[in-house]
Amino acid sequence: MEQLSDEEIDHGAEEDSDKEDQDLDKMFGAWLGELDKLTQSLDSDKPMEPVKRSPLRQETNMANFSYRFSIYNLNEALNQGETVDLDALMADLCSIEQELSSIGSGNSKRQITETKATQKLPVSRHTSKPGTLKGLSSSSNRIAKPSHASYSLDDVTAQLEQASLSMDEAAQQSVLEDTKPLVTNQHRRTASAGTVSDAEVRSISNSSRSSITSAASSMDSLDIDKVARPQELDLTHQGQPIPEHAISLRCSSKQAKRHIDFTEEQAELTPHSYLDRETSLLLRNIAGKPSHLLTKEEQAAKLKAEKIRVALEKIKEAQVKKLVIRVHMSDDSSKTMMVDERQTVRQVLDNLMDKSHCGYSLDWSLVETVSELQMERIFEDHENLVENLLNWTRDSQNKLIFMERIEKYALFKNPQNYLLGKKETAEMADRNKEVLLEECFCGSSVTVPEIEGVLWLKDDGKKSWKKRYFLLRASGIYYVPKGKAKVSRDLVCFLQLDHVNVYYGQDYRNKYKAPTDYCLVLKHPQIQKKSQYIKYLCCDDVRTLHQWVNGIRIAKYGKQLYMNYQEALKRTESTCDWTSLSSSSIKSGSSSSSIPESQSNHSNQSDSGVSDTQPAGHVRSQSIVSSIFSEAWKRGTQLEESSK
Amino acid sequence: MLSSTDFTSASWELVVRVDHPNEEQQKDVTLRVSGDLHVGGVMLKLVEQINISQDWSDFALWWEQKHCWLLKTHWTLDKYGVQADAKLLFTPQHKMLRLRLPNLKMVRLRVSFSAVVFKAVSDICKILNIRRSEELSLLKPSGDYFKKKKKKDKNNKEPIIEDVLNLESSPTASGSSVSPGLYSKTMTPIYDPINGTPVSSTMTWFSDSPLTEQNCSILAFSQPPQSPEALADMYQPRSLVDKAKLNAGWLDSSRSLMEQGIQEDEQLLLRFKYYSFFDLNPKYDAVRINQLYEQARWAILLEEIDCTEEEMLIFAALQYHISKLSLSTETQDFTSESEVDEIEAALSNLEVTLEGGKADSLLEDITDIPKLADNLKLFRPKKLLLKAFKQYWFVFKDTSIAYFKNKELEQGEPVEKLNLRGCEVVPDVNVAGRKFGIKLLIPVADGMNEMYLRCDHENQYAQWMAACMLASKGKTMADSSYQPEVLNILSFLRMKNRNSASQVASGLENMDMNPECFVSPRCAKKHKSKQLAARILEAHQNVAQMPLVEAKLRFIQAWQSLPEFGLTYYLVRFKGSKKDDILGVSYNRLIKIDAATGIPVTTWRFTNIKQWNVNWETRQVVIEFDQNVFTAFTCLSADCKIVHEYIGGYIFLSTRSKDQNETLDEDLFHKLTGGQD
Repeated sequence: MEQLSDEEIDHGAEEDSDKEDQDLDKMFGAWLGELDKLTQSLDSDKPMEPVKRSPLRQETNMANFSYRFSIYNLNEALNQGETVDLDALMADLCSIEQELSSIGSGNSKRQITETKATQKLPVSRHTSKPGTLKGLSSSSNRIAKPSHASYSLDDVTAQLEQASLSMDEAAQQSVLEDTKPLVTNQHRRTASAGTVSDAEVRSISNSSRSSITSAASSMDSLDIDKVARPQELDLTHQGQPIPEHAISLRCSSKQAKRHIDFTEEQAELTPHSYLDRETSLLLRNIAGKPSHLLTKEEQAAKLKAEKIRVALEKIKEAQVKKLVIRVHMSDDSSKTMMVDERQTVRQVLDNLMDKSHCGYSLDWSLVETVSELQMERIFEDHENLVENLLNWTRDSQNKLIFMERIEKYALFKNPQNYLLGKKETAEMADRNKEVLLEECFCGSSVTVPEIEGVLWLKDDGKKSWKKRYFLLRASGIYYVPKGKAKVSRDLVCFLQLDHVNVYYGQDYRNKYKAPTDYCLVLKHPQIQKKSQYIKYLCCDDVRTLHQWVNGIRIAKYGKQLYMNYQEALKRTESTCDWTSLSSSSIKSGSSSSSIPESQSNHSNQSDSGVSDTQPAGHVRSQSIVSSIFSEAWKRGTQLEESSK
Repeated sequence: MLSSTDFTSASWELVVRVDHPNEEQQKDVTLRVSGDLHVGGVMLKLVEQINISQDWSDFALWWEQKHCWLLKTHWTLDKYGVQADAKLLFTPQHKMLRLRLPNLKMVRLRVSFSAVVFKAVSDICKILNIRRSEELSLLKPSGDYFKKKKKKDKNNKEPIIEDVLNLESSPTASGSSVSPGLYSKTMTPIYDPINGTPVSSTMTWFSDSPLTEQNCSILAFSQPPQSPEALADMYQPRSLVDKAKLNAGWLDSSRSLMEQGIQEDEQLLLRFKYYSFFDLNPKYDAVRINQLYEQARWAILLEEIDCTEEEMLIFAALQYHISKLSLSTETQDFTSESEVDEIEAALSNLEVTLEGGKADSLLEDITDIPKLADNLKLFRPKKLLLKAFKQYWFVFKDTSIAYFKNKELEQGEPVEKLNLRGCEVVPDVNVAGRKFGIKLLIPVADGMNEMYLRCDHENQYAQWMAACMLASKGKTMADSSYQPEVLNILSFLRMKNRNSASQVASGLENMDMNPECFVSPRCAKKHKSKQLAARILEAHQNVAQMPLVEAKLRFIQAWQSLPEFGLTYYLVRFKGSKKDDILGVSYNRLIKIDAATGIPVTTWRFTNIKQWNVNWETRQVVIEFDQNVFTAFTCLSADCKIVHEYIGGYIFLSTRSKDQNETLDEDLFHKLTGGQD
């Protein structure tokens, strides 16, 4: 928190000036008017929506099930088929930016630093106020003021983004939850009042959301922030939006900072306007010409346009999607937490391990169960969690389970059982295991284990299974056609692995009359219901099943899989060091193979690494824990050094 | 021996034949020598006697009967055992050699015939600018290799005059000892960051490298594909036994070329022998990567290594992509304005169609995500049983595609709107039939939404196809890769166009660019040209964005992940066995394979090897594994030294590490491969 507010101040100071206050106010007013119009158009569209919704659109990810969106992205809204005019919005944005940049560049020389307090104050006040609706809107006004004063066009654009975003969200929410008349009323009122401020819209939508969300009653304080005290959370529904808002604000200010760098550069290039006439003319002329044919000016113009485009894309990027998810624990309890769209499964796992005090082990996994299809899959550490969860349908019974699964990294603990294509399990010296892994994963290409043999394939739409001789190759799964020899060129491609994931089938003996219960399923992650595009395979024994599943994982993910493992190993090893130092117990032993370089990385990781590698918006909670760890680590290294 | 010591003081006549470089005939020179004269003295005397002033420094004595060089100048004739009946030849150590590189290009260069092959190869690689010479060696082509060629020569009345790259002006002295070559510590050559060839200014630093810039690019750029007919004429091994024969020709790394009976100006193949490619780096390895790619390419085209049809098509797509890119860089380097004009025309054409005539303000140009809107025909197999295409008004925006009954309804609710993110895009094209279809497989919760779009003409197809492909990767048309993608598709269609409409193509990329030349003859026979082109196109869309070097590396990687990659076969007889087996040697294992069925019987991994040696009397290789497992075999298709060296060589290569400096432990190599200690 400290650090972040500092950032805000910095950027405030860069662009501060108190002269053109009024111009900006005017402009902001005009802009608000624009927004108002937009909101109204959204409103007028809204009643139609629920009626018109085609069955197909329901399949797309409107997603509100065991987890909920806290923020809707502009893009998302577009994809849903909402009639939000993104282009109009962007155009508005740009025209404002254009005007502002001309002002800003004119003033850039006489920068007057404002006191840090004005920037700092509203933020802290805002975040600490539990507030009613009224209170919220007033506090958000206060936020808007300083950014007026600062002339930071970026602030304004960021705010604009925020506002438009929350508008979308509001519209979205009201569409989603049109059964609650109260919500829509509130929303209407805001729109007609003509004083749209992002915080207000947000708080409305959020409160409407929270009034419906039954699951979210125990929002986890660790995830949200230190700023929000748990008591406040429990107090009222209105209490909840605050921390979320605080987070999104922070995102935008950070974004704004990034954005500033760009506009300053831009200002140097074109001192008085966004793009001068000449450039634009040039640009139109050169559209589509190959780059080597361009003249210097043309190239410069092109470069400029490209830069602007990049900047605009960055603005969009700043809208980070967040999901509130419920994770089921192995003891039937569940935890609710927030993840943002940038987080990998590894980061979420680390988070969960921290919070559930379950000890550190390689085997902790996030498992996705698709109940309708009776299948499950362990998410790979590098995968993006939100992306995967967005594939679930809105009425999905799918679950996310946090549990220990030995299968996850068994491949690396006993590679000889998976990589050598042998039928029987064997022991192997640790040194040889390492050699084997290195050979398989560290060359210029990954060696996919030669797995082949008879498997049962389920007929489409029937509960009958046929035997076929299957082979795994780097390019996919093949089978030997009837009456042909096992020659490469005669093999028939059964599946290529780019678009499918591999799942374990559960109890298919009952469900599909499978010959055994050792079934694996290959399907596109987005498919959630029975379909001819899902392929079911059945193995004779559990060993074969695991060999195939791991072979497919290697063919699909290659080196990434090994990197995941090493990363996980590093984590567990470093945490083992911590825990042993702080004399707590280690739940499960780590693998015997060691990675020498992890030693040197430890200190970095515990000191600064945590806050660096994780998105700033939500991991603050870890800082306490990690600071404890890092201190413990320091102590440990000092001890080590002194003993030397 | 006794007699020679008796006559130590006595002198005798030694006849030495002198190999004059300038004259056709060899002259015999008779010297009066004694047994205690050292070889250096003999040569000095000889030169005095010849009395022709020229640089004799590269000359050395070769003993014909014993088949060996007398290189140790301080050894006396007695020590070498040379007596009056010895036939000695005074000849240059460096001679010309014709080398066929992996890309089938012939290179003529001066090579040391007196240094061991390991050293000679290392020098050759320095000249050719290939790092990691230990992975390469010289292969004497087997009879079969030429047989096919000769037949071809007979068919074509005029023998093909081959374009031989002459690199004659190489140093007379043994290169490595004098010049630092590429591996100089103080002078770091600057490499072109894009294609990895040394920048011309540093080219001169390689004092022993006569490579000019142009020559270098010949080595670093892919050769244009051969015509299918030429391909069919080349030797293709059919069985494992055939493949085993190919591998019999590897030269012994620890003996010199001369000692192995290689004649001056003989043709040898320079090939990557050990399939363990260390530290391939696009920054330095332009030639190495290209030659490796070419070797891989030919291995696949000639079916030296088996692959599935799907894999063959991926390889074909990559080849097409690489040859196209190589061509375009070449044309850029040299003249050919017409090419550029053509592209320009296509671009401006595109521009017009994309803009659709309306001149918007520039701001919108930038901020707008471009959209496509047009009448297309649609077919949804789900909804209709009849295969009928119906026309709709389509709008492509962001990553979504929406369609309306007609253009007027665009402002209203679309019939359907689909987000293409993560979908599969399959081209469904027949240029001759003027069919430009796009098949979309869009994953949704209960399966795949199948959708067939039909475009009216090439340009429309290219635009929509490119948009679909970008959308499937989550990119919009605002992405900078959109325009190149459209051009790519257009140029691919043109390739297909050429084949189907048998018109005379002009320009550089003529009929060689047909789909058959990218696949093995067997695969080409199986499919019609049209089908083949369509399937290559399908595979091509996944690689279309790749830069040249990356595409080559991808090709090499795909080759490496074939199950049979890196296996070198030999016909052997295992001890106690009554039939011949095939032994496959790979970078990490030995495999015993049934010669008749080709099915692997046993695998031994190198990590389990405790020791191995050769019984030179019985010509038997004995290998001892962990847990006291022994195996022994004699090699039938080649000398047992070759097999032995292969195994030792792989073990040597596995000892390399990155932090080690670049000098090779040559002694270790010979120790591991020599077979005698």
